[in-house]
Amino acid sequence: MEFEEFAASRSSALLRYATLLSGDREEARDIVQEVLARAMLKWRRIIAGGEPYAYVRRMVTNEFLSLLRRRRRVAVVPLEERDLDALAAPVRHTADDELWQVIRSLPKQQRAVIVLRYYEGLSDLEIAEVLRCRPGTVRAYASRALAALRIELTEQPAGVTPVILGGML
Amino acid sequence: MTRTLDELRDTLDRHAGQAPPADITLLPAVRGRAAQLRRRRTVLGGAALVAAIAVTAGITPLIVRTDAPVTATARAWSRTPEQTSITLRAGSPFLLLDRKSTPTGQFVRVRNLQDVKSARPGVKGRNEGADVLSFDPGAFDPAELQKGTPVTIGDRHGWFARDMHAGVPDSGFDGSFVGWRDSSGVWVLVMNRSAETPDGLVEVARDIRVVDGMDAVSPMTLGWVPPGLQIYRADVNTSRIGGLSASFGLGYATDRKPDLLWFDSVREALPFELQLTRLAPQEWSNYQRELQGHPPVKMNGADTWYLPRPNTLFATQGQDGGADMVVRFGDCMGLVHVRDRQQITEADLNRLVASATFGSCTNASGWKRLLG
Repeated sequence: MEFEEFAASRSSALLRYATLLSGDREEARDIVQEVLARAMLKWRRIIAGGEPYAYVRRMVTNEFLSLLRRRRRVAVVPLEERDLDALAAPVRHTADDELWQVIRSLPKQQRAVIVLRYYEGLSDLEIAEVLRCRPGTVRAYASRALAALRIELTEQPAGVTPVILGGML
Repeated sequence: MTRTLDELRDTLDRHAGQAPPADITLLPAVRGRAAQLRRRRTVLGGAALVAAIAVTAGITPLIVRTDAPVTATARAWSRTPEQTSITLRAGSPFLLLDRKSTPTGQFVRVRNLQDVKSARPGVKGRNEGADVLSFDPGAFDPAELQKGTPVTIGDRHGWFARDMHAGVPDSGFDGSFVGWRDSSGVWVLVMNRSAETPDGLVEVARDIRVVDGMDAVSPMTLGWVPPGLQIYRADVNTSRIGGLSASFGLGYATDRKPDLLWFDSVREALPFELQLTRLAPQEWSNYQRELQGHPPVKMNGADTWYLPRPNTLFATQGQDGGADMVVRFGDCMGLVHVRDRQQITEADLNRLVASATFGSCTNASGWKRLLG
């Protein structure tokens, strides 16, 4: 798969993921743009790994988690008319606003775990690989986040198998 | 007010829909940024070349100096696989969190103390810290690092390299590095995945000190382990604000020694693994549900559950010959994983728990070496 093909087919998914992580459309675009630029430079190595989306999603996660990240908007990106429209649109208070605000206030790692688990549908073991931490750490982040979000657990997390609950080293 | 997982998923779905469009301007912007990054690399590479030429010509010995080989002046230094030897200078604004050690390398997380204390870390302009790797003498090939830009780290000399990989293949250590060879012969690498300049890494590097090995400590001390078992991996966090935990991997002399990895895969499991964490009620509920109907066996004041595999908690493909034990004591939870229950039996684990001394998982001040 060529880089352009990947970018065309997966950019939307990456932008949605980055938007949930950052809680900000502009920052999401910054993150994805920066990550795709870096991915483009090492595309052969990425494609050799066999799972380019997983690799680039991990890059997006790292970029989001990096506290050193600064806004690096590239001047060549024009502000489109529809972006201006969106900015001018009245703020819509929906029923989930309060929950979204709490999600946005979570520490970055906890937010990443919640998005990876409940939006991307990853197992705790897969999340641990994305975040480069132990499955036990993922569970701890998830527990804290769910407590903060006041989520009542009525089912097992998506894709969680017994071994993952066990938190093997 | 409580909410359901469905409400959480709905909220995430709705807000994902507010993502900016992947429109026709994205790819040109990506190409533009890629070109900018490529140019920057070329400039940095050129700077490294100029510096190298200058060194060869003996023009700027004070600015650039290749690291001297380890000579008779190198100080004596040693550590065992369970020991770490990376520390920070007194008064450093950084804090050491996890300390992981293997027979040939170490990994520690260094974070800004202010960020660790804050509920909302990440103030712009503040150095967040870095991840630090170290490789024992002979365990690191510096060729790739030395292709980078020479940098000065206090009174030491090293290199800055971007897009570098360190350690074994798939170690997970990829990114930008500032590295140098300590007088002990240990190679130290300070890493950040996306640093474009060496400044932040050098700031952390200046505070790093390599000392003689310091034992990994644990809230559970074992008075007896099956003969021949030795510690080959330790990963300990004794910082209360960073979260208290300890885990150990023990093996026999004939076992393949574990590599230094960012993420310790179950595929690399050693014959005996022990993970100790604070008993968080929410986390315990995961286990409680699975352990329902299995009353604990009381041993040495601890509640224990021995679970031969396959079991519903730890079943791992291809490891049906193993066994697990959940140990609950005080404010701690211990998970014991045995690769082969014929090799390390239930009786062995019972004896091990019976001989153990238990400490606190909310205060590490009383933690001791694992093998007492």
